[in-house]
Amino acid sequence: MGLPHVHCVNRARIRPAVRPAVRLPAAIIVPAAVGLATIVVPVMGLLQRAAWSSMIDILSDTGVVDALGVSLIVSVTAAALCVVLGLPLAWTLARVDARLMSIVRAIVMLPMVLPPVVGGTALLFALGRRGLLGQWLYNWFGITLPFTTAGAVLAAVFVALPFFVTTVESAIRAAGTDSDEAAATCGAGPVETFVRVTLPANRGAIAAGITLAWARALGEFGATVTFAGNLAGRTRTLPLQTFLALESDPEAAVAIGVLLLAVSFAVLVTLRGRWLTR
Amino acid sequence: MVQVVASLRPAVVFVSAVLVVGTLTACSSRRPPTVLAASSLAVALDTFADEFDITFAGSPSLIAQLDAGVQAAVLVVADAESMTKAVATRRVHGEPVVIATNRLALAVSDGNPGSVTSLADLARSDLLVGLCAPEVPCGRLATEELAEADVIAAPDTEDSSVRSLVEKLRLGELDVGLVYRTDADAVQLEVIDEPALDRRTEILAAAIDAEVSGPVTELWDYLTSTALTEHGFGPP
Repeated sequence: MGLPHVHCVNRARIRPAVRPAVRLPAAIIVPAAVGLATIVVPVMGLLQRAAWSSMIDILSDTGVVDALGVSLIVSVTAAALCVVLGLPLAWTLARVDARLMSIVRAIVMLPMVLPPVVGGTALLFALGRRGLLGQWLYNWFGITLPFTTAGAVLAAVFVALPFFVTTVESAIRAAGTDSDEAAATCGAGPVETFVRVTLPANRGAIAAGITLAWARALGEFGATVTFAGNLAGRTRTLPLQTFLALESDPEAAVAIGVLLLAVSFAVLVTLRGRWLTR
Repeated sequence: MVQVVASLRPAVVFVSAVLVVGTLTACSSRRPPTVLAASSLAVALDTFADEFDITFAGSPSLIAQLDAGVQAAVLVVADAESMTKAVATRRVHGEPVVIATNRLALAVSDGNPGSVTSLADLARSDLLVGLCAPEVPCGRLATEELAEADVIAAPDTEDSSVRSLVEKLRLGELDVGLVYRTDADAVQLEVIDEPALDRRTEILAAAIDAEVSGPVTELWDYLTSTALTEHGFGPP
């Protein structure tokens, strides 16, 4: 940027050289292990019911392949939209210090506590063919969102956005305004500061936010099935396919569940390794 | 697999949680008798909701719960194929009984904006059409009816529950759909008269693990009487 070096130290580089050795008291380790077990035990329950020998047959079924395709398109598009819409929102929440902001912050969190099926119904009321805004979309442009892949993406963004925004907002807030002020002192405008200082300084949190939002979008069921419907190749994602398989062929449901776990586990481990380790 | 867990009853999830912590206690004995019933019976069994612990769900989910060892006194499913699967779990006691029949209705959204007149309209691509997925009882029946009428439907959604179809029709988000007559009646959906929809599916009940006794007898007598016909079901 050609800025005087003394004003523009990257604060993230200043950190202790040696990590202190961590002691492991039982009072912490025991509940931590129980906490981990509440996640690991059900996953093991799923894995031990998997019919590994017929796994390939089940997963190469056209229904499953279609659902995987829809799931990847929907979850990746939703995660991308979360970044585009969520970054400015997170920055605003972290930087604008107004009483109103606590209300906005609570609003952003709403989809996290709302049962997804209720969220889907809310989306229908708002953007359905006879909804608040949806009726205008339909009457003026002939656009209907329910029963389309775009509708499934919208349902996924609705449930995933809070995960991205809260992760990134707390990081931007925790990083403080020193770097931004330094950049401003060095002559950078607010947008340049955001792009060249705030974003790089928070890239770890942004990657974490993307990961969380993507994972939430991938597992999304209730809002999708309510708002976007359930049609193979268009809106039937892997979770919907799993639920349907549960109704007819539990063995296939387990296999698809394992596929869903494998895909997300692989992505989460890769992302952690690449961006989130320090 | 969040959905799998969500389809189980909270009590079951709670018991699993207790198991994980390793302090299993006998907490099931004080609960009222459990009834597993197909969603289409939700209105008809409403009067028993206080005395019994009734789980309303799709028949396949109910069978999955039986298979997983959920405690229950009575099972009611929406078609014969479901009951065959239930018997395969070896938990059905005695012979299952056909307690009523149900059939499909050609339901349209309020005012019939799509000008639907017959089953053949389900093939129209300009309409938003909803069906049950062929994997669930109402979808099996729909598949048979459509094949018989020689109609290749163009669905925009194939839901795993009749309830969600009914809701979308009620909100006007779907133009037309094939749902159970009883579900259409329960929320007063507009129904197009279609004589071709003449196939009936059987509603079956069975005692689970032991003979029907005690407080469950009253419910069993109700189910096996003609009382269900008051809720739009056909006689057995």
